[in-house]
Amino acid sequence: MRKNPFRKYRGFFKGEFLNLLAFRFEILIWALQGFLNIGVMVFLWLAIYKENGGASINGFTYLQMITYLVMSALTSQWVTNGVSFHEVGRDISQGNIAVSLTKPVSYRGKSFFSTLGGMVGNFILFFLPAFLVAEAIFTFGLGLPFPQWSNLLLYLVAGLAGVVISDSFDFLLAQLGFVTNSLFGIMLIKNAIFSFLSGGLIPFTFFPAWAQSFLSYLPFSGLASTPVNILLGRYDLVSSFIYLGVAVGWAIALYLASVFANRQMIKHVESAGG
Amino acid sequence: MIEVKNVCKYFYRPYREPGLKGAFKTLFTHKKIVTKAVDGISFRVDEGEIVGYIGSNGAGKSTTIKMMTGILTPTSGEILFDGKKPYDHRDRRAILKDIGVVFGQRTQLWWDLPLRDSFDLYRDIYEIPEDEYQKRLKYLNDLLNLEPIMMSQVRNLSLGQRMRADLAAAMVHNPKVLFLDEPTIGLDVLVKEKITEAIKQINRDCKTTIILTTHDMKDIQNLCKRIVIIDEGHLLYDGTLKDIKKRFGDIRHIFVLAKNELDIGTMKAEFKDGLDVQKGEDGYLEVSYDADSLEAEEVYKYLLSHLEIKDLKVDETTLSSIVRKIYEEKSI
Repeated sequence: MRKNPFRKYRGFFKGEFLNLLAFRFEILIWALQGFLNIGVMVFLWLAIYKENGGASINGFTYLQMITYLVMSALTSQWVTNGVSFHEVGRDISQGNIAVSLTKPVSYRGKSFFSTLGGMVGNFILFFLPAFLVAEAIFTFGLGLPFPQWSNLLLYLVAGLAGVVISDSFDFLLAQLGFVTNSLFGIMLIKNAIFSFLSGGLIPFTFFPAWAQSFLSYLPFSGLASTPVNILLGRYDLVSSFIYLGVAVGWAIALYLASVFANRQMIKHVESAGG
Repeated sequence: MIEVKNVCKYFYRPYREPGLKGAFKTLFTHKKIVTKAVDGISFRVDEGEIVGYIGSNGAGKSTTIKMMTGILTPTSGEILFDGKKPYDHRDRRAILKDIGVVFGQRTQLWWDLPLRDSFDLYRDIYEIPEDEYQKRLKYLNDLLNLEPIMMSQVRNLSLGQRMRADLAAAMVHNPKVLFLDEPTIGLDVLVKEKITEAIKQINRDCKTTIILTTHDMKDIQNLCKRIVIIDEGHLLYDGTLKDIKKRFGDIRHIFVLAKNELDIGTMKAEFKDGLDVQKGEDGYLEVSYDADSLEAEEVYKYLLSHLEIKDLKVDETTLSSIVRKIYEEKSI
């Protein structure tokens, strides 16, 4: 019987991937928005560094700052795709959970594999080309060193942990669909808070000292700060593994929490109706 | 096959008083309103049957279907599906492969992808071997004529096309039991016929047990030998379609429009009150009689000899008139 437990979920993976292709225009707009954001950041920080006389701020030179921001924007492109939030929230508010219970698959597994499908799609379609272009500019245009292969590898592992963290958060937050229909607003708030707390907006070194260590051990750091700092070689090997461990630990804990939430949600649907 | 034993389903909703004051009160009180959606229903469904499950809006049909498919847990009583409880976590796994569900008002297809992808998804979920899947697909394709729409995105399908596709998707894994919750809702007459024909065919070919709810009595008449009627959570009738018609008599209604007046009292006396005559607002006389006890000839002869008839229509008792009567009187 247990030939391949993933076969059941292959369809959701593939489906979300194909969905991405079906909505390529929408995604392109999102990507464009990302580029505009980066553009604004580049000039904003240029102004700040000029004011500062070109010296480094909190351990970041201007170029390092730009690489950090570009990489964190690109990372969030594939690590946080919000598929679970979107789909689960919609299913809850439209009462579709009930229908999904008539299929022999776990609802949490379904949403997780949808996220993975979207992740791979985003990774190949947007992250990879953008990353290569960005690295080409940084390495050949600006003379910055290309990331070490070991760091690149660790970055991918940290990013995957980030995917699980982000997806589990999404699943948990989507439960709010039971009490409100304005999930889009919640998504905007969520994105704003997450990009701040994950170090995606500004590096942790810009926060006060007490907040730095505090934030590094929160699950949000796994979404941007940990993978990006590892990629850029700002962590030595030991701290790389420590933060990677933190991210993986949170990933497991949050995934379990989301499985628990899934069970509660189904219980609720079973007794109160979808 | 499926046994529903004295099943109840109560929903508890917080009681809200109207107005702002009431809204605040709700925050601190725990008063609850109980809605008895299903209240003590028992019946059984045997293998290979097509059972029509009817009732007015809010009668508890969907709730029962949801309990039978394991989406809702009964408040009390039990439902056994081949001896297993569909709403039990462990039993459910075994049962889900044996059931197919179509909710007429919801689709289970992948909205943004070509139809074909949805079928492939179900192949994976139900772990259907490729050769069996291809055979199955061919059968459903021939039955429901899916070929022309196979490559279109589901959101671009018309309601009729989508319903055909939904029916096929519920049948991909060849379930033993197919639950259809209002499968013909919002469809035009032709598509309805096609769907009911396909449902019949499925029942014949695959020996699939079919349980369907609908508001369309024509569907029921075309499909079911047996019907179950519920109202306000209670079982009103469980038996064959023939029996219910017999019980209500085979009443014919003749509508006559005539130039002259008819003495209603005399006519009733002539037939010893074996018929009923009423004058409608539109000027038509409605003569109703039981076809089992009176010959049509006598009635027509009487009418023709006493009236200068301008127009004449005949109606027989339909299931819908019976059901309307049952809904109105809340008993049988």
